[in-house]
Amino acid sequence: MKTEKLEAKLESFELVSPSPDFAKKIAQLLSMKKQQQRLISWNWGLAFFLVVSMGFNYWQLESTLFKNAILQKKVHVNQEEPTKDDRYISVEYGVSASGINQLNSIQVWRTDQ
Amino acid sequence: MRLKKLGKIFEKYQKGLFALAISITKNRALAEDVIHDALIAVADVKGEPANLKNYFFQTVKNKAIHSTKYNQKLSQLEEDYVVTCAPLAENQLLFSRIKVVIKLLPSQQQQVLIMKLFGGLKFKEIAEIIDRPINTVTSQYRRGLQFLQERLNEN
Repeated sequence: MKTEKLEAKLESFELVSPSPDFAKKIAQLLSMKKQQQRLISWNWGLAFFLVVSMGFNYWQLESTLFKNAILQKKVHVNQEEPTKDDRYISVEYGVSASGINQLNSIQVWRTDQ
Repeated sequence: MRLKKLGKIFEKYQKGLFALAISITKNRALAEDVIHDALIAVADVKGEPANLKNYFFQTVKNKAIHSTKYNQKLSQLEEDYVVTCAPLAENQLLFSRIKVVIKLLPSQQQQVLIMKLFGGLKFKEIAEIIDRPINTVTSQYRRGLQFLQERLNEN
């Protein structure tokens, strides 16, 4: 069989076509992927919003707390034995607000007596 | 954005994509599955490929090779990639012989022959699909056809 004849004969064959609904299936797949991506974008947006909102709430809470907090400083001079000469000075310092009451104290003694 | 581009590529090159997939899988259902899977893979790939069209074709090719090997391990696939306009007994006999001879060719020559002879694609289109120079495609086709002719004349 000559080449031209063979070629002509072979060209009478055709590749099968894709199924009739193949293009439709691909279109559906593309639209599904688009929806998925949109959903993912929304989820990222929501996550970002939550993080920002949490950060803002924390800042707001902290600033409210410290705005209402009272800076305390108390000085006691020889409170335990007022009749005697000054033996020590006691200083209390700290912050107090609703939920927080953190006071520290130091005492300084006179040692020259 | 990429999905929109992929949709356009699919619409424009549907014939070429299918011809490439079926020239490797030699089975219609498998070729369709391959394109489907390749589309998902390309849609989900991280980073933007430099040339989306070439990347899509390359993915189809790789998926087709992989799934053909995988399916051949599982079961012998029925080869249903060609139809004839005139279902004469002579044509059927010729085609059954061609199927056997084509399998003896290197895989790329098989692809070129199938796409050119049965898919009706031009050399330029085939070169674009398989990403080879047009001269390589032409010579592969000539060699493949010559081999086919020799083997058919032997019998």
